[in-house]
Amino acid sequence: MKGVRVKFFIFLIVTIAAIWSLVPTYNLYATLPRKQKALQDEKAEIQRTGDSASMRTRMIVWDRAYADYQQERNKTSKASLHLGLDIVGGMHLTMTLSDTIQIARDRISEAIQADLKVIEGRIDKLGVVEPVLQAAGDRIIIQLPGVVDEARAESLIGKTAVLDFRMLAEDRKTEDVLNRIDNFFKALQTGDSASANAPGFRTYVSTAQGEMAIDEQYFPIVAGMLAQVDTTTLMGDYHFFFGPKTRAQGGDVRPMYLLKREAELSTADGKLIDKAYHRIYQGTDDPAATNTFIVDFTLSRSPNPKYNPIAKFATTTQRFVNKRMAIVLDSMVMSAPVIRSKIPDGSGMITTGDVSGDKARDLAIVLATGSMQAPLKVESAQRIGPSLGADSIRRGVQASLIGAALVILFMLIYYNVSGLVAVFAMAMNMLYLFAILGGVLHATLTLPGLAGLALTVGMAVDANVLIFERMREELRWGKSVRVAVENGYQRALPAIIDGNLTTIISAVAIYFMGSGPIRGFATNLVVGLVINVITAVYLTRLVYDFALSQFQMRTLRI
Amino acid sequence: MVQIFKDTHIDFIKLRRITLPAVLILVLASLALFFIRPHRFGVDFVGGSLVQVRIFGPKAPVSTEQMRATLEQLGAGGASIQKFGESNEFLIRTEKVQSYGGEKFSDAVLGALRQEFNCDSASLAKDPKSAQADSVVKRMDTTIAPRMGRELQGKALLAVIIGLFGILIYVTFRFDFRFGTCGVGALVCDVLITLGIFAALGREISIPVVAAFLTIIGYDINDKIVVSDRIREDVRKFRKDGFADIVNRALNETLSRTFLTGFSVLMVLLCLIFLGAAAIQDFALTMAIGLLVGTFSSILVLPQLVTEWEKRMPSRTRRI
Repeated sequence: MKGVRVKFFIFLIVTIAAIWSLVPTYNLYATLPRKQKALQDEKAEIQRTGDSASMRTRMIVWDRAYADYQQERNKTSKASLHLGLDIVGGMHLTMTLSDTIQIARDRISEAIQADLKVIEGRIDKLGVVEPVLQAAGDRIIIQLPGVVDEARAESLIGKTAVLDFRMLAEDRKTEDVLNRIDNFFKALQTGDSASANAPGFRTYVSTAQGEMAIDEQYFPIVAGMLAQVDTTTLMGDYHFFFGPKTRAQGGDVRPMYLLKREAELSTADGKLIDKAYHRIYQGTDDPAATNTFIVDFTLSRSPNPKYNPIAKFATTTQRFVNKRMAIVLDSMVMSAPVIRSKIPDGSGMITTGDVSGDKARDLAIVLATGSMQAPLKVESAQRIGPSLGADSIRRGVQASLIGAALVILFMLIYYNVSGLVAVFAMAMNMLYLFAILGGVLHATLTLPGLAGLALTVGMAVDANVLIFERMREELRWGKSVRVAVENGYQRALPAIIDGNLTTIISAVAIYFMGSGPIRGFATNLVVGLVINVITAVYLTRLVYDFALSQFQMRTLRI
Repeated sequence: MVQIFKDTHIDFIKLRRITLPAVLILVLASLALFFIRPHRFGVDFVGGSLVQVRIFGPKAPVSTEQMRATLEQLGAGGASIQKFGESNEFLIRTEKVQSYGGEKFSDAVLGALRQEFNCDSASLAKDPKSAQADSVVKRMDTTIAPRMGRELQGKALLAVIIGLFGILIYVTFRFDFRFGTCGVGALVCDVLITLGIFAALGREISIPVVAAFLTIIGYDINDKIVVSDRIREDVRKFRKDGFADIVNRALNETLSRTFLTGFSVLMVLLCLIFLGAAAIQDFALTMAIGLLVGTFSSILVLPQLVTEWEKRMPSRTRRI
């Protein structure tokens, strides 16, 4: 039979293509982890043995090898089947627009898209493999599979990272503003102006390391007081900003600065920072920063003559030599150094006081990736511990394998050789399904997705049972093997088609209505059932036709 | 040839005097149960915080009461506590998203539990092998804003309703309106009864459980189509026989298929129930209940409904 041979050939090609398309998935989960481990071992080895000079050269080689590995991994990952967060564990973040800034409705999606870009850059630096980022209305959904440092990821992703440079007020000006606010509150309490003994604003302002500082316990009070005052009349062109909480002799304090309300340079106006790196500071100009991590930055050189950060920085630093300029990140004063001379090349450094390097590294990342157009806040953070994920996947796989083995055993006992044909069809069904999910759709497998697979297997068993029961009936009525096979398939077909089609209809409804994990269920089911009709009906038929054409079959083992 | 059912002649249709009222009672009981004891929805739906912890060390085993007392001190007495079997693993859930002394729920719970159940340095020195310095281990921790929950809830329900409507149209087109209505009706009854049993067991509806319900619906549709298909075929083949006889014959003919497929799937589900992890157990248990309900309804409810309909409104043409 020529037709059978052609069909057999097509089947063979499809199967080879399916296996081929699963190669990246195999590499992602089997080959690459081994490679990564080897690289990590090598790094540990280099750091342990080498002296500083040879270590540096070896590390450069290693860095290149690691970059190659990461590139390969990203490429492979794009062509693979992924495991969902509920299976491998990881982090699921939903960010939504923070209500601190009102954004016009028609600009929301634009702002979200811009923020998405920024987040993408930051996650890339975080080193998470195959993150999933989605914009959904006024939200951004982020999935970070695998082991993730949650706190770091949250702070890194959530930072608005608006950086600006503001001039500090002169001492005389500061004194003046402090007095005015002080008098304002004294007047509030006594009814008439300036009773010298009433507690005013200055009571809360102390000095620590040569800066104005607020005791941490008074910080809410001071913040509340500043929110009450009429800033334009009392502070003029200036405004109070605070630094991060620092340890002083009497307890924790927050340094306070009076800064120009208008920033000299700000990322809110456009891209400001070109490069940012962290390193250990070993200079002596700033003794407090010695041996802590700092971030070196270079401003961007914009071709636009109207907005050129480097030129602006040069003129500003020239104008304000020997004055203090504050570097402010998200309204928090990072440092306030004195400008010693004009800075023509747009380079500078930010002291962080960080000794471990993590904070400085993350600061460098957020500076280099730019600031968000619209501030975001974390709406929900779902963390799925990898231990549970690993445990549940191991036990689930074990249980499914045992279950599958039992079904196979049952089919073999009940249907004999024909059972083997059915098992073969099911195996092919799974192979093709995984090939389409992994090699074509690059889908993510979740727990509901596995449910879709389970239903597919159930329907595959059912299709074969339907066909075999029909064949048995035909044989019982004394039909020949050839006729029994022919009629068995023909009679079982309407039930199989109708059953699979109705299930596909409901799965399609679920796909279009459902969201996230439920969609995975629907996708797997639809793809699985379409393949099921092909493998359970046409592929098994091919096996019988092949056997009938090759052997003189008097009896059918069914 | 191994065969389980050999040439059976069970009068399924006669059973309708029992099965149809029984189904009605079960459906009503399920509906009543929804009001008496509403379903508990997981954090996926209602929002809230959830933390799963495991306690080791000499202070284990810890009873649910001890756990409750510790949580009450924290001010989280309203949280639900679920213990997993004999392992000292607890699932603690609160629907209120609030901060506990400036901390997140999971951190606060963990802190309180560590204070209570971590072993002191004395017992650590005495028996360093069995005692671990940190005896409370966090296994999982989830926070979900409820806003997302409501959306998910509505969407899942709408998806099922639209799906059912699509099936009704398809079956009406391929069979006839009678089979479509009875099929979808039986399907709805199956889902309601399964939900009722689920509520009676006091289980919580989570995403895997929703997935299980979707799977059951899919399986159940297929089951009903297979039975309907055989009835359709036999009605064409045996034009002279009475409708009830034809339906009975069709049911007996498909009985072995109904059993074989159901048994195969049930076998896998039992494996998952007894060997799988908690999340998968919930899924498999829901499916097993739905599988049994659906399989029985395919041979004890759907054909009887169609027969009843035929009796009251005989179709002259018998175009089924």
